[in-house]
Parts: sequence; C-alpha cells; structure tokens
Amino acid sequence: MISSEYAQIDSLLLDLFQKMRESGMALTLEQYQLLREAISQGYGLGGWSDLKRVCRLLWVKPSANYDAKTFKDAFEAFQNNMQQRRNIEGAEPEEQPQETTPPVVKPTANLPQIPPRRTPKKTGTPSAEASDENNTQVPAAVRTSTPLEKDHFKDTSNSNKIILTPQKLPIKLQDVRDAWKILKRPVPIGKEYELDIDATLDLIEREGIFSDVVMRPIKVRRAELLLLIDDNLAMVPFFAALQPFIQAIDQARITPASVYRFTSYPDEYLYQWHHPTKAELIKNLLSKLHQNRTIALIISDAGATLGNYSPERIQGIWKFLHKLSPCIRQLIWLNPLPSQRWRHTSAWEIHKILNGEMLTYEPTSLQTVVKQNPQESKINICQILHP
Amino acid sequence: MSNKQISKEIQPNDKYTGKHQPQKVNGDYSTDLEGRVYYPYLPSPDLVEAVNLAIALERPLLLEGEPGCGKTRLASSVVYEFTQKNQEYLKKLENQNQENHNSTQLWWSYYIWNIKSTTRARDGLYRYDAVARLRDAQLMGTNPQQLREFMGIVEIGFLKHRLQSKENYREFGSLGQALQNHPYRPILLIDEIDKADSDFANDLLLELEELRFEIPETGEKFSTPKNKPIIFITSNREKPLPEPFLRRCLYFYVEFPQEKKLKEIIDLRFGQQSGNKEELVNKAIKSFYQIHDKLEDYPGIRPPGTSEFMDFITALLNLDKSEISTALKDLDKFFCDKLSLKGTLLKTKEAQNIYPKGTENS
Repeated sequence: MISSEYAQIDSLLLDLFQKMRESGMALTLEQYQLLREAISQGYGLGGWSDLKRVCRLLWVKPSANYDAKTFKDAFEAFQNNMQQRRNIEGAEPEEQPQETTPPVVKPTANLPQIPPRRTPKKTGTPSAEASDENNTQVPAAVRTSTPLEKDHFKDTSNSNKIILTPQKLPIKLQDVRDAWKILKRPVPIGKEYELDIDATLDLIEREGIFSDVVMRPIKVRRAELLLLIDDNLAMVPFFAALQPFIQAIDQARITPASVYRFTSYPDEYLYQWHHPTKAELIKNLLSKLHQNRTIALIISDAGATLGNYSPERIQGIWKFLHKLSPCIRQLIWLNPLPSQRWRHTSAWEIHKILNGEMLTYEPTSLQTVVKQNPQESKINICQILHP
Repeated sequence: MSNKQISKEIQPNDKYTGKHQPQKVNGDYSTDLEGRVYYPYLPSPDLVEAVNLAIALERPLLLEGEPGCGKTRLASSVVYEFTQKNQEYLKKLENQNQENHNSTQLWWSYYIWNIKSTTRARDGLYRYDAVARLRDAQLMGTNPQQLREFMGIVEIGFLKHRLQSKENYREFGSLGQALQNHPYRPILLIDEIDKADSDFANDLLLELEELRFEIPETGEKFSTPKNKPIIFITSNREKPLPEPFLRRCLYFYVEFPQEKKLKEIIDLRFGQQSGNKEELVNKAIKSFYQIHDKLEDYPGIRPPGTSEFMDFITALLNLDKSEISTALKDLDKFFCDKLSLKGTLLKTKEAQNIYPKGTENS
C-alpha cells in the first residue's frame, strides 16, 4: 500500500516537473532529485500549498529561467488540472460542461473588438450572432464558412489578447542594469602594463630564485554610455519597449550617459532625447567621447519595419559609423525587429557593415554582447570602405 | 573510540524552530567568545521551513530581500538556537578534548565570511603568505651574526621552525575552516555575496557543490567532511548571480515584516522598556509604515528597513520623559523639527526632502 502511494506521488512529481519545464522553467534532473529527496524526508506532504512552498523554495531563483511568476502560473495550472481530473474521475457529468464552456465564452468576450477591423472584407464579417442569423437564412453558404470563421476568430482573438504591460516587454529595467554592470567591469586599456606582484611571487616560488618580474595589462573600470535612438516614424511603436533604457538613465542608474535621437541616420546633428529641438553637432560630440570608455548603443530598425531598401540610409549610417567607431570602445546595435525581417532591406546591408554584429532587441543578445571583449568586437569600418 | 561513544549517547539536534530567543542578562544580550552579539529574531514559518530544508538537503540557502530585513541575522539566530539546544552535547565534546572543566557557555561553530568588492573565491578558503616565506628564507641566508643581533635567539628558533613547512604560511579563511572536519555541522555565513566580482560565485561552484578543496601551494587536499557545513548566503541583488550557482542553492526571499510582526519584534527586543511607552511605540510604528509605503514609490530611494527602525525605536526610548510629549507631537508633524530622529530612518537628503511633501499631498 505504502509503496503504491509513493509510486503515485512519484508520478505526480514527475508530471509536475515536466509541466514546469514545458512552461519555461529551466529545471534540471538534479533539481527534480532534490524535490524527491525533500519529499522523502517528509517535506511538502501537507497538501497543495505545502508542496507549492517546497517547490518554490527549491526551484524559484532570481533569474529569468527560474522566474517566480512562471512558476506560480505553471503550478496553479497543474494543480487545477489535477484537481479537475480528480473531480472528473469522481463525478463525470458535472465536470464535462465546465470544460467546454470556457472556449465558448472567450470569443464572445472579444467580439466587440473584432468586427471593425474586418468590415471591408465581405466573407469575414459575421459575428457569432450574425452567423446564427445566416444559419437560418442561407444554410449552404455559411455552413462551409463557419469552421473557417472559427479559425479566423482564434487567430484574431489571440492577437487581441496581447495587452501591453511593462513586464512583457523584451528587455526589462533589470536587464539594462545587469548589462550595465557587466559593461562597467575593468577592461584593459591600450598597451600599458603594471607589475603583477602575485604572479611575480608565484614565479619566484616556482623557480626558487628571483628571475624576472611579471607584468600585466592595466585595467580600468570606467564606462560611459552614448545611447542613440532612431525616431523615424516606423520606430515610434517601439518607444514603449525602449523605456527601460531611458528610465535607467533618468534614474541615474547608468552614469555617465547621454541619450540622443536621430531620424533614419545621423547626418550632421544629433538631437537630445528629451529636448528634440536642441541639436548638437556630431563633430562637437565626437570629441567628447573616449576611446577606452564610451560604449555607443544604437537602437534602430534600420529600415526593416517598412521593408524598404534605401541606399541613402545605408550610406548615411556607414558615414556616421566611420566617424564614430574610432572614438568609442564598443558599438552595440539593437534592432527591435526579428532578424528574418532584415533580409532584402537596408537593415541587411547595415548588418553587413557592422560585421554581422547587428542584434535583435532581446535580453539574451544584450547579455552576450556586453560580455564580449571590446577589443574583439570592435567593428572594422575601414574594411568596408571599398565594398 | 570514546568520541564515538559520546556521539551515540547524544546526537546534536540540528533542527531549527526559531523558538529559542536570547534573553537580556544585565541589560545586554549574550555574546559569544568572539564578541558577536546575539539578538532575538522572529522568523516567519516559511523561513523556518526553508532553513530546515536547506539543512536536510545539505544545500546552501540563498537569502535575498530588502536591505535591513534580517537576512544576516538569521544565521546567528540559528547558531544561538543550536548552541542552546545542544549545550550538553557541546560540553561533553569539549570534555573529551580537554580535561579542564569550565563553566562558560560553549558555542556552536559559526564562521562568517564578509564579502568585499575585492574578495576572491580563494580568500575564503585560505591565504598563502608567499611574501612572508620569501622574507624568512632571505633572513636565513643573511650573516648569522647580524641575524642574531636583529632577532634574538628565540625568534630565530621560530623562524627555523616556520621555514621547515610550507603549511605554516597558509591561513584558512572562513570557508576553509568550515570545510574541515567537525564533530557536528558548523554554520557558515557568506555575507553579501553580490558585492564581489561577477565571476566570484562561479569560482565557488566546486567548493559549494562538493565541499572539498585543495591548496596547490602546499599540496594539501581536504576531502568532503562527514559533517557538512550549513551554509547561509545573503545577497542584496546588486549584481545578478550566475545561474549555475543559483541552481545549487535553495532560494528564499525575506519579506518585509508586517505590522503585527514588527510589534512582536519590538516587544521582544525592547521588552519592558517598550511596554512603558506603548503610545509612543504604536505611533512610531504607524509613521514608520507611512514612510515606508510612501518611499517605496520613489525611484532611487530606499525605504527604511527593520534595522533602521530598531535604531529609531532605540533613539525614541532613550528620550527623557519631558521630551516624550514633544516627540509625539513631532511624529504627528512627520519630523518637521527633530532632525536627529529623522536621520535614523531617512538616510539621504532626497528622502528627507520627499517625505514631508509626500504626506502633505496625501
């Protein structure tokens, strides 16, 4: 009896573990083992809330892969699922309708938002009630279209479900702060060296006599941010998503930093982000940058949103980068559009100018690029001088 | 042999309940041999469970939470409780090793490793003083006559003895000490791990996972001890911790105490003293929560934590009787006049400026 109970618990835990993994928790087998161990020692056996607490303790971490909210949602879904299943086993007729009702309710809730979009199309218009009417009037024509309709409904209702909340934006304030912390790490500057006492001592220890001093490159821990945001019309929808960067700078979490805007490509002037009418000559600005400190971050779709190919833009960007790159330590370009959309647009050309270093606007790409050694990733503009 | 017998007789009890609280003796809380003071600590039931789970699963417990909400204090609370519960066991153990009987209280082994921005993972394990060894070796090479004039015979004896073994030049850090063999499970606190370099936590992976380490300088190897240390790690989330490190820890977020809990904490900490000035304390708690809630909405300003509030209460309770009525009025006016009191809760100029304004608006 006891062993069968354990087997039952085990299978439950395994289900739970797999559900968690499916919903985006990057759990490893070791962590599953840990849970089993905890359970076998008597933890988390006092019901769902007890189990939830223990699982949270073992699995939730301050990291995107072990997010508390993901865990909570997944666990609740799993719990509901299990309880429902148990209820169904107990009393089938009662539970059956409940399961079928939600899908019916959802489309009607979304209905008011859909029709206006579809009015121009003749076939796609009818709402649920309308299709009911049609059902009675022209049975043959509508019956074939309803399943199709439903599919359409699903699609649109899904897209309608997207509610923009700050949590759902790809790069969060925390990501920006994390990235900045990494960027601020000490980096070697130039070719200057200093005495490495520890290594020298090690050497003496190893060789028994003092033969030579050991030198190491001087590292400096200073970074400045130059944030350049493209404000052409196609970029406007993305401004909300860029907010974490602006916020981090406004709250002085990134210092020193300056934010400028340009339209499509910077020509002669850059404009202050908060005062778009105040122009600054790029020539003046460049002299304020520091080769070993300044990190330039450009956020622009590079023409990928509209999907056009503009030689003028490419030329303009190329000229600007050519001027900018000798004055900075690192150049990061984030493009809010997915890379599939870059092809056949100016973005692809600019991507090539950047030595394939244009990145999508995602936390992962931000993380990887800030960890790169700046010396390696420095873009060699001169190579592209004569394409 | 006899050691084994003892451990059969009395097993150390390493289950944390949070029920043993230090009492004031002669107006002071008890201190251990190293002068660390143990204050009362009221853990939430969830936290108690987290501690016990970490002990049972032999995993480090990573604690995060608002500054000043008692992350660091937890470890000493556990130490205190274990000390109290296992006094008899500790005494017997001590008697085995040394014959002398003394009546002082014996403490559960407790190591603290305070992390600084320059701390490297190796520092916690050991330090090897190569410079000292080099100096000693060079001293030995000098003229014996001069050496005797410089150091004296006894010192030279020490010097010779020191030079004979490399081990005399290494010194264990807190982690290194905790990883040695103990008759019971020692407690290790790694405080503010996020202060260190971003690679720091990654460097600790092997030591935390397998609880063993090596000293290449002397060629010593320390295998996993039978009684693994109980490890608490605190972090203020200044830097993100690497995932492989997080995977190896249990994680607990220490919540800010609710009003009722805070009252309990004050009663426990200040006892009789606070009972006499009930009105003042209640008012202080109320205005404290007002401040806390207000400041939470302001970016870049840290709301005061429990530890700041304890300072604040201490300051209030130390007021003379005549000053109490003015203090009460002052609390009503949100510290418009008394700057010294305000300073215990609001630590920056910005916060001090915002606070009266924030309340006026509401």
